[in-house]
Formats: sequence, C-alpha cells, structure tokens
Amino acid sequence: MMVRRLLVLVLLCMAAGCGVRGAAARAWTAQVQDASVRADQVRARGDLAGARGALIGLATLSVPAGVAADDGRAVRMDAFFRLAQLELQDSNPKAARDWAERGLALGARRDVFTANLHLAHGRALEALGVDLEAQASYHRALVVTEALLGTALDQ
Amino acid sequence: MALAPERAEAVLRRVLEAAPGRPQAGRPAARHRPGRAVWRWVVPAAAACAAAAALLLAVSLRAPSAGLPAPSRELLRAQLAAARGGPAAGAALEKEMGAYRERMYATLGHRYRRGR
Repeated sequence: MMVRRLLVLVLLCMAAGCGVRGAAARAWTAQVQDASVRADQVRARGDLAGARGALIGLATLSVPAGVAADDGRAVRMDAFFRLAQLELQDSNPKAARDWAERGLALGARRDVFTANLHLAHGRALEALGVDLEAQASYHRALVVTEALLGTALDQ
Repeated sequence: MALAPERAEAVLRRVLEAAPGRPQAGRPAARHRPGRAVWRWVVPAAAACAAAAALLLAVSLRAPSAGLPAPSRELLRAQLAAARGGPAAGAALEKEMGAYRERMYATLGHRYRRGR
C-alpha cells in the first residue's frame, strides 16, 4: 500500500516536472522567435545598434532543459553568425571575428550554421589582413558545405 | 452531593482499570515499540525525497532532438559561392538563409509551442 502511494506521488511529481519543462520550452521558443523577427526589422530600418542588442539577447539566452541541445545550439550559432555579419556591415571586423569564434565554440558540426560561421570568420580575418587564416576558414566552410550538398544531391 | 469515600475509591478503581493502555486482567501489557515512532517520520521523509528527485529528474532531463529542416540546395550553393568569393554571393546567402531561418523557426514553433 505504501509502495503504491509512493509510486503515485513520484509519477505526479514527474508529470509536474514535465509540465514545467514544457512551459519553459514554450517561453523560450516565443522569446527567440520574437528576438529574431525584431533583429531583422530594426536592421532593415538601418538601426544596427538595435539589431545588435536583439541578436546579443538571442545568442546569450539560456536554453531550458525542455529544449533539445541541438535546437538551442542551432539558434545560438545562427545568432552569432548574424552578429558577425552585422559587425562586418558596420566595418568592425575584430568584433565580427570574435562573434564568429564564440559561435564556433558552441561546437562545430556538419551543418549550415557551422559553415556560415566559418564563412563569417574568413571574411572577418580577410578584412583584418590575416589572409592565410582567412583562407583556412573559407576552406573549412567549403568542406562542410560540399558534404551537405553531396547529401542533398544523393536524396 | 459527595460520594462516600469507599464509593469514590471503588469508582476510581473501575475507571483506572478500564483506561486504555492499562494491562487488563489476563492480558499482557502492549510492549512499547520505539521503531514505530521512527517509521512515522522516516516514511514521509523518504516519500518527500523520492518526489523531489522525480521532479528534479523530469525538469532537468534534456529533450532529445527531432532535427531541423534540411537546407535547400539553393542555400548550399549560395554558401559555396560565398566561400569561393563569388560576386553577389553575400546577398544570395542572406536571402537563402532568411528563408531557411523562417522554416527553422516554424519547426521549432511547431515542436515546442504546441507540444512535441
């Protein structure tokens, strides 16, 4: 009898925990979607500082446990790529390089986000006059993208 | 009206004999068991610990990834062109990435806002 009651209590607590997780994931999704749209809107108006603020918020927002690690990583890497692009547009290659490196530090994989960050890194290094390293970054982007294109063409 | 002392003593004796916990005639006294007192707080404490552990486990376990949309060939070609430094490659990449981003956020919205 006691064991059955304990089991029911544990199951209720697990259900409550899942509810909390789901709510956190929903809130995170709403926040990242809003921040992404806002960044695009203010950037289109030429407000680079406003876009930078929205993207920094997007890149640094903590990912709740209810969200898959890969999903959180993709959103954050894309935000770092957009920040790097924005800094390049704003003639600030050092900041662009730093944002690209922060994005790559989240974990390079064979995906579009990693390829984009290598590209932005290469462009920043090229603007800084570090041509050899820039070339290496472009090469890394090519390797990832060619592999992805090969997979896409096979399907 | 007061009872006579003999009567009062007889009533008191009967009351004491009938009191719970008092050994009855022909029946051994119930032994005091300290283990029962311990169980009275050990069981709720164990239940609270198990419940807290279950709650923590449910909250902290990372959800498995169900994957993001595959990139379009146009996006991959724009990335290749950008890596090779092709003309207007940046603009094409921006456009294709914008379209991919929309699909990605739509997938995430479907996955987490409406439940998995």
